[in-house]
Formats: sequence, structure tokens, C-alpha cells
Amino acid sequence: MKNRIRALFRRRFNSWLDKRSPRCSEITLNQRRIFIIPSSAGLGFAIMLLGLLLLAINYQNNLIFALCFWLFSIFLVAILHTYANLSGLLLRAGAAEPVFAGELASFHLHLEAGRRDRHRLNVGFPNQQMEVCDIDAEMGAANVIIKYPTQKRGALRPGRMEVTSRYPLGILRCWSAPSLDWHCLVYPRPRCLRPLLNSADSGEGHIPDRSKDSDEFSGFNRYQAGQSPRRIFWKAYAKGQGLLVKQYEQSQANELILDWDSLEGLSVEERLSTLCAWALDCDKQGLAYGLKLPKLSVASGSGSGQLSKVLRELAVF
Amino acid sequence: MTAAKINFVAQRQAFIWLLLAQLMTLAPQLGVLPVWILAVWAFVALWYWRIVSAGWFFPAHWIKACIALSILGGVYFSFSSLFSLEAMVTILVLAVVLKLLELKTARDHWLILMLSYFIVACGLLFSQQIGALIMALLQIAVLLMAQQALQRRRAETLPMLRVVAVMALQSLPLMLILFVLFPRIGPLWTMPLSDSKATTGMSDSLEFGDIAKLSQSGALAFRVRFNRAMPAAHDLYWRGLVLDNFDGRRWTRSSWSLWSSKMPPPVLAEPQLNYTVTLEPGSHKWLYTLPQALVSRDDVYYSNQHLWLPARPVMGRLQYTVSSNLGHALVDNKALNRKNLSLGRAINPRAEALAAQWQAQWPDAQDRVAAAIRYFEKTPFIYTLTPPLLGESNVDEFLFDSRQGFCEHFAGSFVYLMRAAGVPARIVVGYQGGEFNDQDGYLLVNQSDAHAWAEVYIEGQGWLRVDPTATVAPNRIRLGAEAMLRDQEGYWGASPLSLRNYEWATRLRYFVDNINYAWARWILNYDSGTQNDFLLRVLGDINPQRLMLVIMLAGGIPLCLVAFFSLRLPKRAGEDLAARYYLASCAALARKGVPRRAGETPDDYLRRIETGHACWAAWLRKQTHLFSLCSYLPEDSASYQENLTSLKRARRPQKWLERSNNATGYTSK
Repeated sequence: MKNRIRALFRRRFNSWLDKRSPRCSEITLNQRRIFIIPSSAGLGFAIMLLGLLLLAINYQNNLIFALCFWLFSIFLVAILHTYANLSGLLLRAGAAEPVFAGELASFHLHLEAGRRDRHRLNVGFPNQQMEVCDIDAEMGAANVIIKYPTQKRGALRPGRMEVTSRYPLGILRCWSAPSLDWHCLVYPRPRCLRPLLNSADSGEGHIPDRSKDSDEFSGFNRYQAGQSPRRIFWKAYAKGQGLLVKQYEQSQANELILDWDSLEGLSVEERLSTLCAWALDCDKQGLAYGLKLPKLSVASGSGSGQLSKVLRELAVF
Repeated sequence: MTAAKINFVAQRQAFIWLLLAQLMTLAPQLGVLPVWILAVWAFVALWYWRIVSAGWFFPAHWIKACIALSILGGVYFSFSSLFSLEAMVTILVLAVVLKLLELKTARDHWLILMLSYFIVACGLLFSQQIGALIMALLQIAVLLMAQQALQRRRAETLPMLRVVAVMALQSLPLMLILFVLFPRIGPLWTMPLSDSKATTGMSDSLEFGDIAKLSQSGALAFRVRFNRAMPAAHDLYWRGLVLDNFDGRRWTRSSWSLWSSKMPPPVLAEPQLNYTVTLEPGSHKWLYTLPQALVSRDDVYYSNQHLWLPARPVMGRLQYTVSSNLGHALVDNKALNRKNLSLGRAINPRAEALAAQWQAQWPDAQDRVAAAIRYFEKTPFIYTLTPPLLGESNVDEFLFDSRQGFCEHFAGSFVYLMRAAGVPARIVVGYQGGEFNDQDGYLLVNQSDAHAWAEVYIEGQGWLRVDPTATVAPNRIRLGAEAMLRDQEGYWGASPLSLRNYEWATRLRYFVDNINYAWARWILNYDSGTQNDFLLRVLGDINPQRLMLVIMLAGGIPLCLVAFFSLRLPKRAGEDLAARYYLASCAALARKGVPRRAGETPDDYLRRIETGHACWAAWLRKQTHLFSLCSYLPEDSASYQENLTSLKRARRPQKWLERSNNATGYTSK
């Protein structure tokens, strides 16, 4: 019951928040987006103030009255100081490198202090590890990487992040839940449930063996970024001839296609996981490979460009 | 809620500040707390520091229990009670100190800080001088800094102090409003009172030598402000207590005096004397008044013998207003008078023989009193602060052998003689005289003015005051204790280096006392009565609407100002004002429907306006021209300022057009 009420409240609050601060890639925290409530220490402070008040009344002691009212006023003024620590802070969504499902996604967050010192900012996603950062007015900006756990493949849009601060006295918790326009591609979790088969061999496929030279060597080419370092002809590099890559002419028959249809009997996610594991394996061995999915296929290729192309297709399938 | 475990390495600086805050909390209170508490703190702090820095273990439960028990024993040993105010504050302080030994979570950290605030406030129960308040403010500042140390990456003293000072100043207006307006209601329940052993003052029993001891203190007893002219010095007998119970050596208050009528006798209207007495802090169980008196205060009641007592002992300062009529004899319940003849178990044969002789010689009580006064006049008594110690028959020894004594010797012997001679008599203790502060016009009564005198009962007249000291040492009454005792050894102002010997020092002392008196009158004694008067004077009328208005205005406006100045982001250093006003002009034009496109130069934009929107062209041409002028002129030149001003003034096209139309009567196209 309690949890249901809490969930209901959270849903209501989030929808209200969505109206109030919609998703965008850059956000400046202001009075519309910053909320302040007393922290648990603040409640302790309030109880202490009540104790002082009782002490003052019972002993008719004006100095304790003065002390109590002074601390109470400081409590109120601290609201402004706590608010000022967040107000005017600019948050910008940075890049997020793709990750495999089950890993922690890293989101880059760019913080701009806006000509004011910022102390002990806690940034992170709700219920996740919070990162603490301080920004000096002179430095002006900081970059923080915040983590978010992934479970499913696909395009990940993390929900609202949280920025909180208790500066200066710790008795108030000032927080904002901006919704930044972050995308992170989550690849399927690599799990090799079947051995890799060569589709050309119709069932009895094998991984082409480099030592048997199944591919025909066709000459050298200048190295281009993105090509597999395994193909670099290091001897030429040692002679000072620059980076050359060995070029193999793959016969059509030897072309390696990671085929969806070869994985019969597995569920969709299992197939994707297996294809993902295969792709990684091929890339590790420096092979050229292609991908064949029910409605889409990726031409054969190799190198990191090919890998990310293949993994992206697997992620968004 | 799960309490977060503390990361010792990351919060090392916060611990240093916590230890500092603890030391700062307890050190200024060592006057009240037993000194060994410092040793306990040092021990616990050291242990804790080893835990933080060298990975020592937290003490086991049984060790903590042992420490707690031995400390309770120590407190009991120091105060011989666990429930007096001092003992309770000590226990609280020790609890805060020992909490260090189980400081494992952030919540423990907070608990220590919050209790420390409470201890600082408790310190103000024991002393309310200006110095005590300044010390409390220092303590609070350190506590606020310790609280901040948790919320910063580096706990640097100066930036933290700066934040504390800023917040303190910003909260000052609201604090003052609350202080003035908060209703002063009576105590909600009784609280333990401080045992007054630490403070000097009159006690409720008297033995030879007591007042002489008290006279050696330089402390202030109370201040008096008279509404009209001050009475003569020989009339300033401040009655405190009547001691009518004599056990042979010690004079005490009789218990029967508590039963009798509680109706105060009427004070005659003329000639009436009104004055306000402010007692210095202490535990007050009786008031000092000039006889005969009427005290107007709710929590003070009349006890017979013309005494006024607070309903419960009052801690701290006590201020009350009295109406007195000096020329009026004191009349009491007659049934009590006969009890004032007891001589207790004292054996003073020589004195009793003398009294018997008077009794035989004079049938009239009044004549016996006169004979006794004559006896004190004729016998060569010496008035001294340092009388010799007396044995079992102390009245005899004083009257016939040593003949050296202080006021209580004279008063005590006189009353003894009177009782032996069959005249009801009793001792009154209080203060006599005082020191007039002519800078601000009030009377300072010091502990050295403590005095004891006698009252005798004469049938048909009531109780009459007789001061045998006045017959022996008339200067004591005429010039005051200070003038009389200055040359005596043991008097607190007697040392040759004493500042009392210098005129300027006296001036300075009076000046400082003026401040202290104002402090006591306006701050410490601000109660519901003063509050009512003050609010009536300021507001004219006290009603909820006006009070709310005052709170809103006086509390809200400063807070809004604080909010405005603290929330505004600081100006960007080296901001180009010309660009700002030019962009404002572009924005104004954008509202008219022709925004500047992204990447469009001022010249391109101007050209586009000139072709398409001719009505704004003249204005924009001027603005663009001023902008480019400002961009290339040195910033400190006069023409830069001039151009900048006109650029700023003309940044709204509509207004500019109107103004130029009015000026020239010519419509710019």
C-alpha cells in the first residue's frame, strides 16, 4: 500500500515535472527547476531550535531567545545560499559511448559554473552512484562522467538526472531533476550460444584459417584509419616505408556472413546476443564479415567501422 | 533510512573541525564545568584521532559502559548531585564528548554538532554579561564552520568564516524583529536551578564574620534608578532578610514567619518614593527594598516582616519597581513579637548581667534601647574588617574583651543585649548606602555595601531601626563603606595599585557600568511588560494586523534584498557593453518582425533593413554607427562614454522615433 502510494506520487510528480522542465540538450538551472527541502540534518537543526526556544522560555533568558532567533534566521538565509549554489548552473548533455547490455553506460556531462563557485555538487541518476564535483569560478566549467546501468539493448534514453547540493550548512537539500537529451546505444549482451558457422558452407561452416591462406593476397595498400591493425605490414613500417596494409582478395565463396537464419531454435534476443559475440570474435581475429538480418544486411567489411556498423544494427533490431 | 557510513579518509578535515568545535564548546564553560572534563576530552579526542589516522578500534560496549559509569561518578563527586543545573550541563557535555567514541555514521556527526549548539545556549544560563554573549557568538561561528567543513572540498578557514559572517549579517534584521516581537510567556514548567555557591551574595543565615567576608568582594549587587531625587545616604537601608531565629551562635530566618498574614500593609501616598531595582545575575530568593515598600510584580509576594520574596527563586537578573514610604514605622503581627526574645542556647553571663541591670533600671523599653545605644557610644569599639576570632561566648568576648568587630558583631550583640533586657529585637541583613554614578544618574550597590543592623519593637510605635554601627563608626553610614574602609587591610579597593585611587579610572568604571546597566535594562530584562510598552510606543496600537505588517515589512524586505543581491550572478568580467546594447537594439527590432539572421553582419543587416523596412533604417543606421564607433574607441575616452550612452538610450526604436518626432517635428523616413 505504502509503495503504491509512493509510486503514484512519483508518477504524478514526474508528469508535473515533465511539463515544467521538458527534455532538452542544454539546461540552465533556475527557480522553475530548483527545489529545496530541509535535509534530515535540517530536521535535527529544527528540533535543536525548538529545544533552545523551550530553554529560553523556561529560564526567561533573553540571550538564549536571541541565539535561537539568530540561528532560525540563519536557517532561512541558508535557503538562499543553498539555492544560489545551484542557480545559474548550466548543464549540457555530452556524448555517451555505446556499451553492451549489462554494463554501466557512461554519460558525459558538461557543467558551466556561470561565474560563481560551486561546491559539492552531487550529480548522477536517481538511485545510482552520485559523482561529486566542485567548480571554481575561475575554472568556470567541469566535465563529469555519470553512470547508468543498462539492461536491454537498444537506444537508451536515461530518465531525469539529479543535481543536488547541501552547501553551505548541510541543513537544506537543494535539488533539480533536469531531463537532458542523452542517447546511448546499448549493444546486445554478447553470448555465444552457437559456434560460428560459415554460411557459404551450408551448415558445415568453419572459421577461415589464416595459416592455410584461404584468402588470396592481392597486394599492399596505404593504411587508413579504421582498418584493423592486424593487417598492418609491420616489416615495411620498420623499414620506414610508412604504414602499409596487406590486402586480401576474398573470394565470394569464402565471404563470412553472420546469418540470422543460421540460428534457428533460439529466441530473438538470444540470436542477437550470439551474432554480437560472433561479430566481436571476427573483429578480434581481423576477419572481414558481413551481417544478414531478416530485413537488412550489412555488406562485408572489417575494422572498427564495420564492427560499430554491425553492432548498431544488432542494437536497434 | 539507513545511516551512511562515514568515509574517514575523505572527511579528515571535517573531523579536525569537529574536534575544534568541541573544544570551543567546552573550554569557555570551564568556570561552571569541572576542570577534569578537559582531560576527558583530550583522552577521547586522542583515541578518536588514532581511530581516524591509524586505524585503531572503536571501544567495546563494556569499555564504553565503564567510562560512562565512572564519569557519572565523577560528576556526582564534583557537584554532590546529578540533578542540579551544573551537573546536568556537565553530563550533557560529557555525552557529547564521549559520542566521539562511537562516531561511525554521518548522523552521529550531526548529533554532536546539534548538541554542541545546545550546550552553547546552556552556557548563557550561567552568565549573561556582554562578554558571555560575545563568547557564545564565537562558539556559534566555530560550530557553523564545522558544519560547513562537511560541505566543502577543502575546509579553508577564511572562506568559511566569510560565509558565516555574511549569513550572520544577513540574518540580523530578521533576528531583531523576532526578538522584539516574540511573545514573552511565563515558564512552561519548572527547570532545575543553578546552585548559587559560585556567586557571591548574601546568604540566609548570619554568623559573626560573614558580612566582613562578603565586604571584601568587589562585585556589584544591584543598581537602583530613582524616579525623583535620591534620599539621603543615611536613609538608604536596603532591607533584604529579617533574621529572628537565634540558636546561640547563628542567626536564621524563623520558620513561623512564613505562616502569618500575607497582606502587604498600605504604603502611604505621601511622601512616596518610586524606584527600579535591577539585581545582578544570581539565584534570587528575596528582594531588596527600602522600608516600607510595595513591589508591583506578579511573581513576587509579600511575606510578613515587610519582606518581598519571589514565588520561586529567580535565576539571572531580576528587575522590579518599588514604591516606598521611608518615614513610616513598620507594624507587624503582634503575636510574633514575643518570639523575638529568645536567646537560644547561648551563654554570655556578662552581657546578660548588663542587660538585667538595664531592665531593672529602666521600666520603659525605649529607655533601655537608649541606654544600649549610649553603651555602644561610650565603649571604645573598633570597626574593622578583620576582627579576631571569637570563642564559645562570642557576645561576651566581643563586648568586653576584643571590642573589634564589623557590622554583624555590633548588630548581633545589640540584639542579644536587647533580647536579654526584654525588648523584642531582630537582625536585618541587606545593604547600606551605595555609590552614585553621576554620569547616568543611578545608584550602584556593591557587595562591599553589605550590612547588618537591628530592629527593636517598641509598643505603640512598631519596629524601629537601630544601627549600632552608626554610633560606633558614623562615617560608615555617612560616607559609605568605600570611604570608611579604604584604608583597612583586606578591603578590596585598599591595595595601593587599586584603580579606585584614580579619578579617571572611576570615570571609566562608571562608563563601563553604564553600558552594562543599559544592557541589563534593555536586553536582559526585556519581558512582556517592556515589550508591551515598546510596541505601544512604536506601533501606537497592538493588534494582529499591525504585527503582521511589521513582520512582513521588517522581516520580508531585508530578506528580499538579501535574496536579490545573493542570487544575482556576478557580472561577467570585461563584458562588452557596446555589443550588449547593440544586441538589445537588434532584439527590439526582432520584436517588430525583422530579426537579424544568424551570421549576418551589422552592415548586411542594415542593408537589408534599408531595402525592406525603411521606417527603421534611420534608427538602425545610427545605432550601427554608434556601435562601430564604440567598438574602436578606447574605453576610457570621453567620446566612448558619450556614444555608449546614446547607444543605450536609443535601443528601443519606437521610443527613439517618438522622441525625435517631438524634438524636431520631423518624421524620419
